[in-house]
Amino acid sequence: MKTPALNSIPRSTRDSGLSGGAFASKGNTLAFVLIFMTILSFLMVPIINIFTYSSITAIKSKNALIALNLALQTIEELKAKPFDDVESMLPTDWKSFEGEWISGGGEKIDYPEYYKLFKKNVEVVKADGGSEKTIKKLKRVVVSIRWDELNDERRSIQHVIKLATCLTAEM
Amino acid sequence: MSCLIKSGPGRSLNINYCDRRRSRPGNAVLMLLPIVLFMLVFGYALIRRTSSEHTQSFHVHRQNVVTYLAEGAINIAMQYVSENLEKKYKQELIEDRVKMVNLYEKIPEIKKNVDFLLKAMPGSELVKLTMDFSDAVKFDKLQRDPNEKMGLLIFSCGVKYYDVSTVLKIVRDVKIVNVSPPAEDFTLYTNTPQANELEINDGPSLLCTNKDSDTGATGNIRIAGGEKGNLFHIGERYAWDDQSMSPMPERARWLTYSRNSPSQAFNALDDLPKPSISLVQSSIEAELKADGLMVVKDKRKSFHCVISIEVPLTDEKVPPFVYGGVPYKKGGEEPPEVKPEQGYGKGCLFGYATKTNVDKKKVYLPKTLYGKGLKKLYAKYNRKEEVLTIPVSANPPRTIKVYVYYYGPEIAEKIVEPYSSANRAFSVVDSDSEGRIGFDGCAALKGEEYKKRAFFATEEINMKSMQMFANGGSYLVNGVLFANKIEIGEAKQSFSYNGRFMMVSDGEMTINNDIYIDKKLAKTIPSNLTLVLHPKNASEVSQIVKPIRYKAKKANVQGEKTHTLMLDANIFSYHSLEFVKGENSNANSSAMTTLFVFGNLSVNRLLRKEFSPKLHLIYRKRLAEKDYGRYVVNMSPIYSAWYEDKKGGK
Repeated sequence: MKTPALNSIPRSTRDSGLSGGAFASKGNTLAFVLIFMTILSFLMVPIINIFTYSSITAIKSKNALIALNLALQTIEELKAKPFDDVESMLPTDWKSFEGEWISGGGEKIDYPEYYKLFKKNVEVVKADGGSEKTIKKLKRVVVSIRWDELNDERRSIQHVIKLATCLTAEM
Repeated sequence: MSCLIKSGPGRSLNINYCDRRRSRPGNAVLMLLPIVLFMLVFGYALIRRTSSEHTQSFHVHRQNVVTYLAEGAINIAMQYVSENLEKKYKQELIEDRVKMVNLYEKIPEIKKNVDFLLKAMPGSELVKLTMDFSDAVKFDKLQRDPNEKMGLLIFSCGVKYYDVSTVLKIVRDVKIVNVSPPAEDFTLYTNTPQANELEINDGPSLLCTNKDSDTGATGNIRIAGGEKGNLFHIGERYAWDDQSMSPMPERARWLTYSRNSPSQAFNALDDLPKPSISLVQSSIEAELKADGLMVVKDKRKSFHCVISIEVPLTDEKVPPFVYGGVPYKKGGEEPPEVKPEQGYGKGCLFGYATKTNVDKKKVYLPKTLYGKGLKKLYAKYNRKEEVLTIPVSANPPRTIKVYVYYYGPEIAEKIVEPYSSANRAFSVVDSDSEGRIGFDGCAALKGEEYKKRAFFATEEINMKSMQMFANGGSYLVNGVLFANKIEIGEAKQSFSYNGRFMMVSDGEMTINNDIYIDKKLAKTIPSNLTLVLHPKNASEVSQIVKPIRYKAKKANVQGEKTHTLMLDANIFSYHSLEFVKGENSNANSSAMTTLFVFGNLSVNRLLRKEFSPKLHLIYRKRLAEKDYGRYVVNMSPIYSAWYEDKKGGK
């Protein structure tokens, strides 16, 4: 069927169509847009908060995992050391993870820059009781990893995780 | 609305216009709502994800905490058990009585240290800490020693930390092995007869001091005799003044060598059967025929032979030494210039005077003398003190006490029973009628048998690889060390040790320097070392296998320069020993060396031509009989298995 020419459509019909007709003539579109923009902006606040919170949590979780792995690494390094070389650090001496991490075969890998954020402390205490021989051959080791991060109020707070075990000269 | 319907020819277009116009306000909602919803859902999902990640990191941390706490608690327990394995748990392990021992409750020392550990992680608590011995099996189905076994010592520890708990199990191999030296009741033990019956004590002196001055135990001597028996040099006159040796009495039929008339003293011995003695060159030999060390010609049941003589030392003029059964006095000097070492002679093999003996004014001899065909010939010589008092000199009259030993066949059977026939192959373990493998107290096991029992088996053992056993200035080892090649000591460093252990090789072994027991620690740590070289191809057919090699060093012994090696160890070498020129000595052959063995020496065959040092065997029996003193319990130095079951935190 052939489409009728535009000029064949009655004017009233054409006017009422493209220019908004009865409603459009009352300015409804702008109002709706404004209303929706307002609603949207209200809705976007929590949504943006959600994303912000999510991002902060992701960073927290990343930091916690890094700290956890550094704690594991530290305690395993202590286990691998000769027993007599396992010594305590000063309680105030927190050593950050920077510089050389792994080396060998002419290559070396440094700690990532981000790891400077983390600091470690090792507390080594001899056994609490038993024979003299036991006390000599038993050490309690507590590894602490500390790092700072911002809380929701953008204030810096300190986090510490600990791992504790006992090492023996026998193994 | 109606106008749209009435629009006539443009209906479809009109209807569209009408729809668009009517739905226009809703389009924005429809467009925005999905976005908003999507962002909400996406944001919520993101929160969930990051939160769970964060939560998970805490759970992982808690899981690590319980693992390390459990491992630490087990370390405390293993340390305690390791220290007390010998004193406290050996007997229980041998008797299979270690079953689910609650270490935390029963051992206050462990409890205290575990509590101290848990205090470092507030919120943690111990659920259990136990030890269990299981899966005990013998090294060989046919092994005779019922106490030797290997099994698993399982340490279990349960720890809880907030909502996470774990049960960690660490398994250590345990071996309970007998570290008795081969032929430990013998100062000298040879299994195969010498090719030349005179060979056994040909060359420099072979001296056995059979009395263990520390424990009082007396060693035996067993020299395997061939068809013709063994010939033993009883006395020798080398470099001595002619007057130095009193001759044996002719009437006693001992002697063809006689320059002086028989002493009245020895007439009293006429009734006793004597070894036949003849002069060969400068030596007096006692021919010990057939199966034994002593010929038993007289079938009467008593007074078979004189073995030792105690010399009174009340008067310096009385000869202080007995040599070859004959009192010796160095002629004419007042006071007599006596060098104790002159008392050493080949006759000492039978317990004649030695320096030690003289010092104690006693003469010791083997408790039992063994020979070929033990059951037939075996004799136990009981001592009757002061049976005879023989004047040795008329002016002034002096006497010596003679101990006479007699032979009782019935007792002999009992004594001999635990030991195998001399005809049995030394190292081969035969099964008996019940299928058990014979382990007769004399035999050395084969290398592969020792390897099964070893807690440390490797290609090579030397001072470097022994560093893991370093304990201050000495090595502390308990158990069996096995290697294809073993080097003990270094040119400039002797080997000092504690503990009861065996170093076994089926390839080669070299002793580079002296071997000492660290005397300070030996007071608290029972110490005994046995060196065993049992080459793979050693058999009765193939006698040519590597001997243990030794190096001597320059030393000054009682004023004489010599090349010596001092060994605080028992030695089993299938094929004797061999001298090797070392950095510390310019001696060219074993004949120029002096070898002191504070322990015992057992060989399949003692090849005296190749191995002819001045050999002084000073019997030592260091392993205690009681409290399973000859058994050693070892825990493997590394974990055999690790199993963990974590719960919570998901």
